[in-house]
Amino acid sequence: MDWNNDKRLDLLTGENSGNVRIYLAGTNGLNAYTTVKAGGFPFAATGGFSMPEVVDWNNDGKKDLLVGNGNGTIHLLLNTGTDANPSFASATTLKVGATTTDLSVGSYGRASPVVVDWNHDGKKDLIVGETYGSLLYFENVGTDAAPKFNQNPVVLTSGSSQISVGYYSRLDVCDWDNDGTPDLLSGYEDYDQVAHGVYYFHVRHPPTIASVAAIAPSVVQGKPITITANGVSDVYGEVGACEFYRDSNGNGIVEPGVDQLLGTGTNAGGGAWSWTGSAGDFPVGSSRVLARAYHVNEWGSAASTTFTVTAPALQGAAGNDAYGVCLDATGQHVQIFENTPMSGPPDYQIACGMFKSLTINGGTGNDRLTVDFTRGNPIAGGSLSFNGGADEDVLTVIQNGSGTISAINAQVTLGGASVGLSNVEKQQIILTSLDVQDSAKCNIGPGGNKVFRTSGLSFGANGVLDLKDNDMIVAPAYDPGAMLDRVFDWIRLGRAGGAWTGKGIVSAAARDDATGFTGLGCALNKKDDTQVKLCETFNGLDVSINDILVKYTWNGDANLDGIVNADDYFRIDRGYISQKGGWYNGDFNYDKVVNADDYFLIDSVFIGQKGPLAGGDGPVVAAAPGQAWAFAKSPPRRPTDGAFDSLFSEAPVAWA
Amino acid sequence: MAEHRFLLSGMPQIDPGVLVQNGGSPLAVEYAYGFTAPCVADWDGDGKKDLLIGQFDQGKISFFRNQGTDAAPVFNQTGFNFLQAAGSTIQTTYG
Repeated sequence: MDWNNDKRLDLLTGENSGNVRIYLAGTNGLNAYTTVKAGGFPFAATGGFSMPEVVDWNNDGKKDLLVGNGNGTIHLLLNTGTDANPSFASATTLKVGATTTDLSVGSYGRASPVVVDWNHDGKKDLIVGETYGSLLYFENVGTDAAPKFNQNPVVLTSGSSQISVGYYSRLDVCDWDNDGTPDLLSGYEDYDQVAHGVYYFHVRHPPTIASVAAIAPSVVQGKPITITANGVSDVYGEVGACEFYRDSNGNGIVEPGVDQLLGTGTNAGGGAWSWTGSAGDFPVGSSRVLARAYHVNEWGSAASTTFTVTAPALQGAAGNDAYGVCLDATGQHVQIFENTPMSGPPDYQIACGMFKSLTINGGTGNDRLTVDFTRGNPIAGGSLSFNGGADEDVLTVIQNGSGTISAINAQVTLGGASVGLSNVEKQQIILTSLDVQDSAKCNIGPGGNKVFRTSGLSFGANGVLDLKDNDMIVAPAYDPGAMLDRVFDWIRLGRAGGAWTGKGIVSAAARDDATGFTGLGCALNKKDDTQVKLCETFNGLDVSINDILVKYTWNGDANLDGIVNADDYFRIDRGYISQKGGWYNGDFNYDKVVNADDYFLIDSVFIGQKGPLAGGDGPVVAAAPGQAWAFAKSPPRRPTDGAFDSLFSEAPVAWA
Repeated sequence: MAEHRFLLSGMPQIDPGVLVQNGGSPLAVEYAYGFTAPCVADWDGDGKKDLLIGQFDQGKISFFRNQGTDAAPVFNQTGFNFLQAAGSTIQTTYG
């Protein structure tokens, strides 16, 4: 090594005494030695047998000195001079763990350190020889400029055998065969009375990858994507496989179990390995893919690429488009179809849990969206927007078998589309929120056997929600009084003076009821100013005291128990006196005043039915106070029942 | 005895150790009790790595000149070239 930067090789040696000698090269070979000083005094290794190694330990651009000690520890001499004219501070001893314990090769001593980035993590590590001939690897767990070491070194192995040269491994590291790998040389002794030389350990490195590239820097979530590792090579031509990972935590390091294994690539020839899969395995945003290759059984470190994943936004063409959303058979992916049968290969495939939002713009034409809950909730945790356009657009929800449709944590936004939940067989339709935008129409299928529950309900200027002969629960996150006011107003608009042809919340069943005896009632699930619920369950669903109940029932059924009786007259009388307003207080025609018109409605039902409603199609069960309500039968229907005038020009069509 | 930095990846594997050869048999220092301590350097400046080996006996350092190539060193040397300084053979306290 060139100690004084004069372009001549100098010689540094340790010796039995523990001193370190420097033989500087002059014009006629090496000059007489000087002894290295530390802190102004000649340095001597603890226990003698100094084994010096020159290294810029702290990355300050100046050569420092590590010295293996006879007692097995290692001294560090930091250079306080210059690189060309080193001088050293007092020696310190390398530590391990919490820095109170000396790093050591063991009590038999004879540390012989060399410095090399053995695990190729960009930080200098130590390999140290010792009395018993092994090669000890101390991984640097600190930084390159401030190395730190753990307690226990790794005994280097060749294959499965721990390496030993006999006794007294004394190391040097160099690329002996110029293959780009640091090889190891070790002196030795084994007391067999024979003069000895040097062991050479050829070191192989795992394959490297020059670069990784995605087929496009920006991909749509759920679409196929190809990622290629280029320049995959090692000098031995033994690349066995190439793995691709999604860098889940973004730290650039392959961590099986943390990072998602996307798959094993295929050898595309020419040093390229590629993997093709679904961008649905990536969340929306910036994603990084790591690739690594191996030969024999050693993985190389990873190379990576980043790309942007965008959420799918489907834009229909002119004409009639058909979309479908469902889970795949394994429940692992959300499949999205565009003008293809839902049994065929999906256009988009997004890993469950990564589905954030999906916007479908149907464009012109009679567009259809079918959401299939048969195998589970495809929009759990995600939001779905369907902008059907101005035509006869249909959203259909498929639910087969028993169970509850739950789009919990999902939002369904419907703009300009008619929404048919009409082939929903079960009674409970649960959506986190329903936004009926623009001129959208949302129809709950007829049959009187359904309840629609949502926490958020909003309407565009011309939006219509037709409950037909079903009920609804609105469970607002806060301020139920304000929500009740809005629901009341939406029903008022929809009722349109009794014609039930308005915007907002309507009932085609009430509209089609020739007797005019039925309508939608709404009330907070709370008895007057008490903290007592009107009912504990509503159509089989638990309800809180802050829920707003909407019921298709008789006009005059103030307390929504499905029957018009003295209790309801008590309510309207009380409302008439107090003018508190609301259906619960007798405002059955939603005109914000309790007056003779409301008495006319309740009297019509009461008298028209010739007494309390019982039997037939009328409500028959009213729970005693404190009891859960049973599901009430629907009110009578006019003779055309079963030929409901749908708000569609055609009935919702099941997906082909 | 120099800093060794390589830009590679992952954990390396080590082939079984082989003894460096000299003229068809294992290279050896002057006497039994080797306690050898190797150092690789292009000592003669011919562009090829050579071997310097410290030994137990008298703490002398042998220079083995590479007669092959830098990528495939070959040693074919009889006798010993001990490093000298200031006109005499370098000796340290043994070990």
